Amino acid sequence: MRAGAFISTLVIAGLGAGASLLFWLTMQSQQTSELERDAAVIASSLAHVVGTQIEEQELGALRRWVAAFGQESDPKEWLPKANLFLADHPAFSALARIEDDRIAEVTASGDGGEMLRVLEPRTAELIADQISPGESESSVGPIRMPDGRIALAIRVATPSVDGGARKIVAVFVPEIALDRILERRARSYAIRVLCGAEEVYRNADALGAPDDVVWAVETVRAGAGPDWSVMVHATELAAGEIRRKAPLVALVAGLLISALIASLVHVSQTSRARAAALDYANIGLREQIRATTHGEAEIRGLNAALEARVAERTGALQETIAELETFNYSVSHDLRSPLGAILNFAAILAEDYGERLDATGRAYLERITSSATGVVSLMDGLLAFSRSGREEIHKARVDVQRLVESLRDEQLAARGAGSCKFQIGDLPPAYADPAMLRLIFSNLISNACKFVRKGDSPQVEIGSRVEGNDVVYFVRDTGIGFDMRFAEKLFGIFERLHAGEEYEGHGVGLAIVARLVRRHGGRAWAEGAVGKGATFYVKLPAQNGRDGNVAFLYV
Amino acid sequence: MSDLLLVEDNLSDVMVAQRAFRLHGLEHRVKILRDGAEALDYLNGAGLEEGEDPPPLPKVVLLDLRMPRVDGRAVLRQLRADARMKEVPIVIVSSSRAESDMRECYRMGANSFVVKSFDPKRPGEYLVDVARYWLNLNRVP
Repeated sequence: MRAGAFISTLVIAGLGAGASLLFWLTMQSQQTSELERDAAVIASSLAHVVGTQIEEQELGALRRWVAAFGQESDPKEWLPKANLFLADHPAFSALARIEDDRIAEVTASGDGGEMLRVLEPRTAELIADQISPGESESSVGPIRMPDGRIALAIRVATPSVDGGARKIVAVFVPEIALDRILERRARSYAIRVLCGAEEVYRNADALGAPDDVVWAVETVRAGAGPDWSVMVHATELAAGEIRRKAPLVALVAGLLISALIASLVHVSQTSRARAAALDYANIGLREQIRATTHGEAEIRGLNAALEARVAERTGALQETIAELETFNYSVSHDLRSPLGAILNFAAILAEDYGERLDATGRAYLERITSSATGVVSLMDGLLAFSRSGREEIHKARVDVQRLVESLRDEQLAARGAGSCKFQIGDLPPAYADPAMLRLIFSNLISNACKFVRKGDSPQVEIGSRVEGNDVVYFVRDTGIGFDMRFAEKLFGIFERLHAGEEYEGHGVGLAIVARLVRRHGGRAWAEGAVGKGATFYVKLPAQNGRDGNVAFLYV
Repeated sequence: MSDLLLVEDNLSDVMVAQRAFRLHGLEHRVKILRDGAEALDYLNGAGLEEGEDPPPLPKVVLLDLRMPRVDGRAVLRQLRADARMKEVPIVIVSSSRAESDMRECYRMGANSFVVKSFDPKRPGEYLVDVARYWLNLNRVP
């Protein structure tokens, strides 16, 4: 395997060298056109620079100066300002103020002023030709300076106070400006700049350029003057640099490519078997992924459908429950009226006509009254039970100790001070709806005092214990107790384990307790034995234990 | 002269009330009307001869809520809108214990709200208690 890999590497290296050679040859043939392309790109970018620099920096400065000081006609004021402008802008060599086609004032650096005087007739002619009096526009024309350089005469008309034709003429030497603009740009390239047909700039490389070179030309417009043309040609130096780099680049590229391909071959050879195994595994995985994805999509779809159905059913169920509660309420309410009539007339009958009835008749009348009373009490229980499921829960911290003590006092007041003996232990506070918690304990305590043997006075113990996050409260009595077989039935609505005559009530109290405790996220249950008392438990989650995050921080 | 108007459609309730008022010697001060329309006609003096004065205003109206034709709410609304009768005390006597009913009646200008109660020892006599207060103790301008 290793020998094979080595031979492969050698073969690849040979191929790489061949590739390098090919690459080098290609580069050679492409070099010329590449240089020309480079020159064109440079010409284009330089033309852009020249255009914007001359227009914005130089001609713009002149326009701003004329706008600020063009009105000035006092030589004492005008000359210092003009000199300051020339000092700030070296490419301008002279400034003149012309009134009615005659030079009124001139200031210059170098021989610019002299030139203006010499060229005065030509200047005047140009002004007459191109600028109508009073118009505020500029024109530009090339002029040849005494030293042979080409300059631009720029004329800007400004309105004068007395209505005469006033112009500002500036002599602008492009070479000075271009020297500055192009100084550090495009080394190893010959650059020439033409303004209109006149060459105004030529860099050192361009001076030595042979006559037969092909120049890349780019033309740009700057302001009102003639077009500017930038001509670029790569010098021998630039061409040489590229040529020197070519073989090196080719060699390095060839070696790199060889090494890369060789290592690829090596890796591919040594790992082909593994790759095949992996491929096989991949196919399996892909199958699995496809199946899983498909399954997931299916599950998601099922879930969504299920949720929609649950929501729908819940809505329907809530509606039904609401209807039932309303029905429950209105039935209880509407039955009260006729029941009231029965009770009233039975009472009236007993009172007004009781004397005419014998004992049996009066007993029958009593059955009417007690039955109707039972139904009324049943209705009240039903209403209370309905309310216990309907009312909103508003949880708060409840002092269970104080609550239970006040309920004990109520019991003793209602049944007589000696009816029950209470023993109350430590009862931690609960986080529950205060009114509902009161109903829960009130039912449990009144049951504890109620279900006792006739003539007995029961012991009632109320206490608590902590179970993890929950608190379990209990109410224990020494009353008649119950058969554990019916422990679950105790909490059903209208379930009674004792005959109606024996103990008052309608079998709703514990159903309400169970419902309210359940709505608080807790649980109610009972333990007992016939004749040996009963213990009722209520387990409630501790404050925020079930639905708050805060509690978990303390755990 | 009827100082107390009882507006009640339920015959049982009317009979129980009449007996209670009779037992306490109030039957002559009570006028019973069987629905809202009857009550409004009576108070507005309907069917009187030309020039005959309408009856003097009662000292209290005991008004049931659920009645055929014109119900208690409509009577309450019309009495409160009537300049002559807007200060007549009105006690709602209803079998409803709904807070919404109570709130609505007080908002509409009822002076009191009493829930019909059944006391086998004193059938209907809660109305006598109510009547005594409004007839003997309450004052209107």
